[in-house]
Amino acid sequence: MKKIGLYVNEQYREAEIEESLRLVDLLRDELHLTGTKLGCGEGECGACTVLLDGKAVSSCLILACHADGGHVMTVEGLEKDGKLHPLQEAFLEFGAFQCGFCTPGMLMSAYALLLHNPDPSDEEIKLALSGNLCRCTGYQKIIDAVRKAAAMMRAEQA
Amino acid sequence: MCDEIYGHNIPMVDGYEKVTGRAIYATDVMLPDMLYGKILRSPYAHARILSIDTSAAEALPGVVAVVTNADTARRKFSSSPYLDQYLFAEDEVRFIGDEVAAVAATDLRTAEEACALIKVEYEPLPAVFSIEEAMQPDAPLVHTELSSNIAHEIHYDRGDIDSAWKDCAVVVEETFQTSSHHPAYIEPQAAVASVDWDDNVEVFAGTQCPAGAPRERASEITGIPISKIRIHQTFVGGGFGGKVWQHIIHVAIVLSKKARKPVKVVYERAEDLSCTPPRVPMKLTLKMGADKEGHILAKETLIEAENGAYTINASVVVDTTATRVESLYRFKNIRDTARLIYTNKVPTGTFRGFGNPQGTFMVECVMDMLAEKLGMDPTQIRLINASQPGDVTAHEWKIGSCELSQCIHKAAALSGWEEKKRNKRYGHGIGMGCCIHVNGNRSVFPAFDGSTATIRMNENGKAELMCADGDIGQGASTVFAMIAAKTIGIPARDVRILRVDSAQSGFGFGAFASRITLNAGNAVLDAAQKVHMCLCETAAKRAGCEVEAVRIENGLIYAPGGYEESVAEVSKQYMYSRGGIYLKQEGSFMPSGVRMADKKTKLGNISAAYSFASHVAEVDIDLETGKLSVVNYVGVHDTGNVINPMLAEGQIEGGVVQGLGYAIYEDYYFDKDGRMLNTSFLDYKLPTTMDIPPIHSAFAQSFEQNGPYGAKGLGEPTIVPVAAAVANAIYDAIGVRITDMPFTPEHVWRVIKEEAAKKEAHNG
Repeated sequence: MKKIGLYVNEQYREAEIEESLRLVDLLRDELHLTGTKLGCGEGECGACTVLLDGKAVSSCLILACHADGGHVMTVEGLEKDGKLHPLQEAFLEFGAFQCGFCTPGMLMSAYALLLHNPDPSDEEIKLALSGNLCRCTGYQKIIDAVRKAAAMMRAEQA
Repeated sequence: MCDEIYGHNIPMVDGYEKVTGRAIYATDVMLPDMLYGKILRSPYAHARILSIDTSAAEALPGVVAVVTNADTARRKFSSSPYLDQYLFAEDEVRFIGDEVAAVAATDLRTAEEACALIKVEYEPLPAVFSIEEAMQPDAPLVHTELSSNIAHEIHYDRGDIDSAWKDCAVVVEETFQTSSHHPAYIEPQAAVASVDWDDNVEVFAGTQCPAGAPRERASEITGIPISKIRIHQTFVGGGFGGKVWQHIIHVAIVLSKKARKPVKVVYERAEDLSCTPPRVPMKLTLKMGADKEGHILAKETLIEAENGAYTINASVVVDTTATRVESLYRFKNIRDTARLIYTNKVPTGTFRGFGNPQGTFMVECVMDMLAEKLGMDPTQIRLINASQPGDVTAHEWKIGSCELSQCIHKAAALSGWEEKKRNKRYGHGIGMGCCIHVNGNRSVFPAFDGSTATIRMNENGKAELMCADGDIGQGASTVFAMIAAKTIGIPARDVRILRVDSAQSGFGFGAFASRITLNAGNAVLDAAQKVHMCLCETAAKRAGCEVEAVRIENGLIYAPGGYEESVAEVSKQYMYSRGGIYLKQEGSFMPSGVRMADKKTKLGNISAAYSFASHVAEVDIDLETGKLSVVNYVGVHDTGNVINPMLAEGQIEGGVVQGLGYAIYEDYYFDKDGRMLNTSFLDYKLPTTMDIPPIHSAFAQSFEQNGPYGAKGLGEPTIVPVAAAVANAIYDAIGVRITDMPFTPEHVWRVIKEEAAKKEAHNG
């Protein structure tokens, strides 16, 4: 067992965990943040995508110990003071999800993209989301939503 | 047809939960003192079980229950008439992955360790891995108690095919092979079951059928009375037909019954891909003839479909493959034989389209082949033969609304068909595929094929609605809320959809067969009309007027003489005046004029309405590598009056991309022992953002008399014509008829080379 401390959605959390525990299990099973989904456990579907120190990662491929001292952001961290993030607003407006299971991972990959590239081209959006599988939507509305969210965020910044 | 509510893009009513991570799926459910279950599966494709020793597993600390088939009621079950499977194998295992035993332990790792400690003594038996092997005269039998490997067979004639051939000016015969195609929902199958001391069962599952067959099946398998089995439908992380039939629910119940604690079972991705049913792969031979004007005069089909080790529902699927496409056009003279054949591989089953994509692939390719022989445009031969409103088809299907011709015209116009056909260049092509689909399929359950819904008005004027068919993520809840709101006279945001709890809901078959919008939508409509009438009657008494004079709009009730009260106030007064009984109404729908198709002849109108579509794919082929790129895609659908165009477009886009996966990428690969090789998303390739063409969705102007507000179903037809449209585009591009799915670069490259070699031999 190992004691770790990390920031999750800007809150400091401590946990005593087995060293083999994956970050996704820490989030879901220990901290009960089940917004992060587990679709394959092999880093292939992207449903478990979270931000670790500003980068999109598959939380099923990272040991929780590796996040010790770090900053993790999950889908639960997107909404601020009861106000949805522009990405969430745009996903709703464009119908960019159906079953919703890939949505948290999709949102976090998109968030990571817009963090570093506020005005991405469609090709850049596609590339950033290429590790996130969606079996429902056919992706088109997701790409539309990310494009719109980027524009909303740029307008907010201006 | 579109009014103030209809044709509106209101966002999904459960969208907030989904974009904030608040939606609880089966994989998210945690109960106090919950155990984790794991299934021990067969390592052999075919073997006799000589003994099972669970003692070492039971002795492992942390293990609470180990179960085998002895812990069930030991009854064989199926959703088809062919009862050929136990929950856990008893005498023999018949595919790699067959369930043998299961363990519940305090944590997953202990459960996995315990599975490894179960000692099973096997005697390997000979196995068959293909239809060809299974049909050899001396082939080993998958089920030794049967006399052959044929699980199911149908044969039927329509009209007079023998004389029809004589009138044909052109005849084409071709054989096609379709691939295995897994629903590959992103949430793997999962279930949490909790069985108390008195056998009261609570299940939390992402099932497509929360209030239907799984309860009955669980009762059969466990021996627990159905009245004690309660299923809660969680959010469902994708279904597509793959979560209709779920052993995982029953395994969780059997484990929990023994442990008397809640048990959670979640499949690993590899387990889900290799042990749950893919779409039925088929070999299809079609001979079709037409007169010189292009009228199809005769159609003869031989279908050989791979069942895998057990008949889950592939028998109904193969019937669908044969029959459904035969009502797309005005076929009169038909001869069909369809066989379902056992092999020692994973049982095959239902996936969006339910057999129709396979049959449509075959027929729509041959339509193009006939058109070419006749010197006709592919759109023209389709228009000449297209089913029309009021038709009674060869199978006695009563076609109501039918805008197939309009779909074809519109798809051609939107894709620039004529211009692209005029300016052809080698390697670039355009192709069409059309389809018909049902709105509910009366071939499955003999009793009826209806739906139920319940609406309760709260004292604040807000409605709670539970429809027993549930929502699997396709947007059913939003459609229900829109129908209920419009009918009652309240805003859609005032309708709250409750997820299905089988103890609170009516009976419901579930979400499959594109049945929801029409069947469940009509049940919601019925309940909402009853609520509306109660509100009107109550208001009429309070206003002192005739019921007919009352109207409800946007949450307010009006009557002559200046009466105006809110729905909230009237709902509250209704409840008070009845001693606290809320205004609550149950609605139901039984489609009229629909009957079970005859078992033998397959005659009978199986659906209250039929949906149609025409798709056009445009492809570019890299002649050096064989890489196929779909560069543009048009999908035009007759789905009746469109209730929510944004959600409807989403169905088309999603169905098309799944269809492109089927056509181009996805298949199963096995080693010589029958072990599936590509059991991860790295090797089982789903389309990603990098693989999608621009998809243009459009709708025919249409209104279905039997549909709620004129609407029809849409879920499955979106995938049905895709492979055919792509195959026809490939032919248009390179002049080679590709008959085997999937159209991988290697496959396309090979057919290009073969064709070139053929030409060279011919010229040389």
